[in-house]
Amino acid sequence: MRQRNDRCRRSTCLNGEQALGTRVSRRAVVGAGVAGVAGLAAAGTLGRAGATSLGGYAPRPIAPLAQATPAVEGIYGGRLRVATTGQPATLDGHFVAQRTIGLIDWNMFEALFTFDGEYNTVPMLAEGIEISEDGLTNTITLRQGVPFHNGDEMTATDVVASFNRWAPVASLGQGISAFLDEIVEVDPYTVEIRLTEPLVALPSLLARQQSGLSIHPAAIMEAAASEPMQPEQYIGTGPYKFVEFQADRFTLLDRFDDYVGVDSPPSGYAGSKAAFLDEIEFIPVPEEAARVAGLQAGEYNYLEEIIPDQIAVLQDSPGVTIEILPPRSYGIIILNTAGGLFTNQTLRQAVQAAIEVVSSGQATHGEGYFEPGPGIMLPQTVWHSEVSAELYNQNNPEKAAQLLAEAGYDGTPVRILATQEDLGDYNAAVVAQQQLEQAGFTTELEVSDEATLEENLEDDERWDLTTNAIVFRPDPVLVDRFVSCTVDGKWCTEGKNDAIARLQTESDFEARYAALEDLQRLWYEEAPMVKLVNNYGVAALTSNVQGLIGRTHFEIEPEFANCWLEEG
Amino acid sequence: MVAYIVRRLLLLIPVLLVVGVVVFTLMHLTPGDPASVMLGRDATPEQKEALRERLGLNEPVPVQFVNWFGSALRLDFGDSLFLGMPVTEALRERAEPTVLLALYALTLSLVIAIPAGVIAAVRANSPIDRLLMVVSISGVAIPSFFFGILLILLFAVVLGWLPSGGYVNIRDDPGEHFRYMLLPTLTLGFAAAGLLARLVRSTMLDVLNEDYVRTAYSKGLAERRVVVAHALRNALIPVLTLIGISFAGMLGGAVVIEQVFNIPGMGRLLVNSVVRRDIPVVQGAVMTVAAIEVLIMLLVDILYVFVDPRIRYGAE
Repeated sequence: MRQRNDRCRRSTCLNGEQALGTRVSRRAVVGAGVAGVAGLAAAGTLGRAGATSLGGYAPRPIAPLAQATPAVEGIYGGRLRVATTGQPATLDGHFVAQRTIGLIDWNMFEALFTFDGEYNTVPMLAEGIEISEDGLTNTITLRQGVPFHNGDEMTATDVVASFNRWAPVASLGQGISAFLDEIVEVDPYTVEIRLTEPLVALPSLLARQQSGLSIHPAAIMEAAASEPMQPEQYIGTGPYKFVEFQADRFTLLDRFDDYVGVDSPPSGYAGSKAAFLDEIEFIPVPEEAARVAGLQAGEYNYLEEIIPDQIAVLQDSPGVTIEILPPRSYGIIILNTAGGLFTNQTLRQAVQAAIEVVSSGQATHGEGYFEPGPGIMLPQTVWHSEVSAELYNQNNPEKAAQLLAEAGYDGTPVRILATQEDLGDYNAAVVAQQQLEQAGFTTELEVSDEATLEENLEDDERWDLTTNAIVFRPDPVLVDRFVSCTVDGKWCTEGKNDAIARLQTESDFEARYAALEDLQRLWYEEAPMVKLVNNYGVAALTSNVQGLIGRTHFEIEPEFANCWLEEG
Repeated sequence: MVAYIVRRLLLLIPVLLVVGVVVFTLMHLTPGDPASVMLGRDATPEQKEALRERLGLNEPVPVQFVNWFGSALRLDFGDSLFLGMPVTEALRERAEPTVLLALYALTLSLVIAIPAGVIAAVRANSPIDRLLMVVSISGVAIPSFFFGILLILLFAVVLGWLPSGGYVNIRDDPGEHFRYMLLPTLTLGFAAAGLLARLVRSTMLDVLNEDYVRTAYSKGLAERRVVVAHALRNALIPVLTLIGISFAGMLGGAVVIEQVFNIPGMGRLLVNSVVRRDIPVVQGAVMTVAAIEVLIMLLVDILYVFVDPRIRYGAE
């Protein structure tokens, strides 16, 4: 350990001891001037320090997430039953980015890095990372003696094989590929990632998240190749292991008795992970009322999702706990910059001027379950900024009308695409339609099922406006809608790409933060999307589920390590 | 009779052919790309294209039709795009909960509806007739999803006696199986019983006014014998038709019940597959349901012979 610490002084180094259990404020990070850590740590607080209160709307206070907590003392045994919203096509997270997959997968798979209670990127399967002076060579040392569920030890061969399969297909991997020279197995416990340009957010991009790089045995990666993994290939290093999958019925995991984790206090997704539960069963229950009744009846212990209408139903139910959590997403109106009306920036600015966000929040999430805020990074991260706040929530139909006149708007209808399969997005679209009509736009709302919507969105000439959400990410380079030029709406301007490049490559936090502020300024000036409100997460679980609330990152998705069922 | 059955079975071929062509055409005319559904909204165009290629969705539609139809003739509906298993296997897996639920619900509805309909007819216009008919109209009028949720609230949430949803295989644990199936059976059976009871009542009323019933009474036969042996048997023909239609409907997908009670049956598979654009499963499921409907109606026609000896097939 002494040797490694010495090496750390010569170059950027991140290891568990350094990052865990240390509350790093943004200023402290900047002050420390530790290039890698500063750049990649999305250190912040889960308190409401950055929350804003606009238009007389008072957000409700939220309990902060515990910092590193002592090793958990829980009760062993029992089966935790989780009601999910649907059935994913596969649990192969390399291929498919879906929240339900993340909810299941990260109990049985692990990544090289993860996020602690304060969103610092900290090692999980890695022991540490050294970044060369020029930022081009990233040497990742691996923890030794970590077994896969099939009994084999995880080594560098497995990491390289997993990376090589993941990088070309996952959007995060494609982000790295643009910088990648090669990945090399140096010895059984060391991997070197050689880059063509520095990529300061590399550990964050390799961390545990939706569509993140989970590590699997090399033989499985080679066997699966470009096909999704089959259920018998769901082998990882996590505290729970895959047992059985029956489509539309259940996915069953049970305790992995030989699990070897990190020996440090639990914090967020990091630290030691005790598998108290005998089994975890994920049951697809698409019908909202059935999920809620099941929770009330004690059939399910945790609901993946609950709509605000149902919260009141559950609030007084005995044996049920409802917890309001920090924002887990924010709503957006996406304007199509690649085709149709909104290739005209002035028209996009007119939409931005017309929108009032509180009505949208009330329609989509209900009173008390949202807060307005201009930041394009959620307020619990260090990235939160109020730049260009004056252009947020303008509620100014006169200005919108003026911009319409300036743009020479001829009354061509704004084609709004929506689906009722996501009621939140649908309601946001309906509210936006009304506000645009009031401002002088002509609109057409086209409602279809999700599959049809997806297909229509692929044709740039087919639509002008749709709604969606940006879910919590601890670092801006992990937000696909910022980084990518190909997602719906296709925001891709020189200024935006420059800001993203600086976020990816600058090593100094202040420089990265300045890039984020530039990105946010451009967001409001170019108006490719209109930000609505920050939506609070809501956890609905039976009261005998312990060790989850205040410990795991509900705003991303909970992990069931360190969680136990109280008797009775 | 045998010739009649063979002729009816042969009729299955054109029926399935038409159903197959219609379903194939509709599914391919419907917008929505299975690759996008499977990969999620944020997948890159390259990812979607690679998956389309792998699933064979880039083949021209006529080629896809010929391939599919050739296989379907051999009862091979191909592989599910979403489930990663042969369609026939997926259908076989999902058939069990649906068939059992339909059988339980049908049995329950018969047990309720026939006595209720007969009593209501025999005691026509009495308070008991009115009470039974109000209950049976409720069975028809209350939407089954609403009735199901009420039952869940009462028996699962408030009383905690029964599970709120899910399914346990009968071979794994028969006791638990029946516990899980009780509420869905009540919901589905109650709705079917309402309609059946009304039909039994009205046909019984017609029959009870026939001359031969009066004759039976005048011979001094007991009322129970007249009603059960003489009237009910003759009233059963239209009832049998409705039983067949109800049963076929239940098998074709008690979609709402399966959704409310989270039962992994045929109906839920079909709805999920439409949403997922899992075209092979939709085609396979619809053709299977069509075949079941035809076979059940054939069975009903055969049963007529036993209920009413005057009916003869193939005697011409």
